[in-house]
Formats: sequence, structure tokens, C-alpha cells
Amino acid sequence: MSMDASAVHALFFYFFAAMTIVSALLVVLLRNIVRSAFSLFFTLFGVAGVYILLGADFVGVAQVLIYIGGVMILIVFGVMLTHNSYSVDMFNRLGTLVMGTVSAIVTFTIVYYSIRQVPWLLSGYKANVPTTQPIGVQLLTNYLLPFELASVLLVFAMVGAAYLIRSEVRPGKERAGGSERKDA
Amino acid sequence: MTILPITLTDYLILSGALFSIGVFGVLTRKNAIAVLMGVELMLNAANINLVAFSKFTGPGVDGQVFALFSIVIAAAEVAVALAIVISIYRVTRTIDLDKEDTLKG
Repeated sequence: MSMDASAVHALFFYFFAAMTIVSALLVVLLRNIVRSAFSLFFTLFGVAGVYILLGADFVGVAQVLIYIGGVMILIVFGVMLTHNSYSVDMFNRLGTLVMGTVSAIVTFTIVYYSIRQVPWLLSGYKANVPTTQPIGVQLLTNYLLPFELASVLLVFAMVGAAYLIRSEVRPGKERAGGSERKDA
Repeated sequence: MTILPITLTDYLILSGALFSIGVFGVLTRKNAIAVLMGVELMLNAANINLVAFSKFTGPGVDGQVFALFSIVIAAAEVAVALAIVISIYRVTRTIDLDKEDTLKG
């Protein structure tokens, strides 16, 4: 019975891992940035599936809500707002392409052999329990200060982003009577 | 054929592969938004690591809390980065990173 469960777990892991890796490769290899962006949807869904497999239900749902519901929408908007440049060649020159490939392969090789060699001190596989309540308790006790700082950071980021993309002076008009003309 | 049970090592290798793909995207793309997508891949790889270590070591959910903070900060980062990209686009009419080599407004 437990062998069965771990086999099913392995099958789901390989499914989500393949989904994540294949769509991530498409994200970095496709020439059309709109297709890249939609491939990133599948990568983020695959990562959410990996979180669920790891018993992190709350983080998985947060991944779906924040990444897929928020970040991806922002990225698609960014792609659309800068639309005349998504048909240009997306890749750098050949030299950069070779250097990028070499860097990625070297990075993966180092990480792979490091992971294989380290004897991880594991304290056992924890059973899957609901994590929402312990996360909530942790956020309001041990991590209260980072929690509040994160909300302040989010406000700063939103205000800063809105400030950065406000329309102040139109490109054609000079700032002749700028002081009395508030942008409407 | 028997299927080996999935351990921490498998999750870490998945995360390392995702990170390497992100490195490739960041280093080779010319489009600023495509570079941002590569950064997102690398952030997700780091989050997989946090959640996997939280699952396989120690009691408690500290790793998951860290992953949540990381997701929040990634959201803030994307909002600000896209605002910068769009305001650069308004000035120069391009988001080709090879052409953004000046600090002139």
C-alpha cells in the first residue's frame, strides 16, 4: 500500500517536473514573446503542482493567485504595451548565445554534482497536513515584523510603479507653464 | 519496472535545472520583458528549494513562510521592473537591451 502511494507520488512528480522544465525551455527558446509569456503560464502551474506535491497547499494556492493571477497578467500587459518590439529578433548575437549556453550548462553541472555529493541530514518525510493554520500562526508570531515590512514594501512598490509610469509631460509638448499645469 | 521514491535530491535537481534555464534566458535574451521572465524562472527555482527543505527537514513551516515572502517580493519586483521597462519604452520606443546603453533620459 505504501509502495503504491510512493509510486503514484513519483508519477505526479515526473508529470509536474516535465511540465515545468519543458515549458521553461519554451519560455527561453521561443522567438515570439507572446508565446513565451503563455508558456510561462504552464511553468508557473507546474511549480504550483510541485508545491502541492510537497504538502505546501497554502504556498501552492498563493503561487496560483499571485504569480498566475497577478505577475503573469502584468507581464502580458507589458508585452502588449510594448507591442511593436515583439517581432524583432529576440536573441543576442551568436557569441552571447554560446556564452549563455555554456554558463547554463556549467551552472547545472555544478549544482547537480553538489546535490549528489552532499549527505543531506534529513529528519524524515513529514506527513501531509494542512499548513494554512501553522503558517498563519507563524506569520503573526515569529514573523510578525517581516510580515508588516512586506506589506509596507508592497505599498512602496505599488506607489513607486504608479509614479514611474504616470504620464507627466507628453513627448510633443514642452514644459512651458509646467508649474501651474497639473497633469489631469 | 519499479519507480524509485522521490526524495529531496530529485526536487533539488528539478530546481537546479529550472535555475539554469533561467540563467540561459537572462543571458541570451535581448527583449527586456523576456529577461524578466528568466528572472521569474530563477525565483521560482529558489522557492522550490525553500519548500522542499521545509518538507524534508525539521518540524515547522518556516521554509514555506520564507517562500511566501519570496513570492510577495517577486510580485513587487515585477511591478516596479515593468514600470521601468514601460517608461523606458516611452522615451526610446524600444525595449531592445542592446540599445539601452545610455543613462540619458
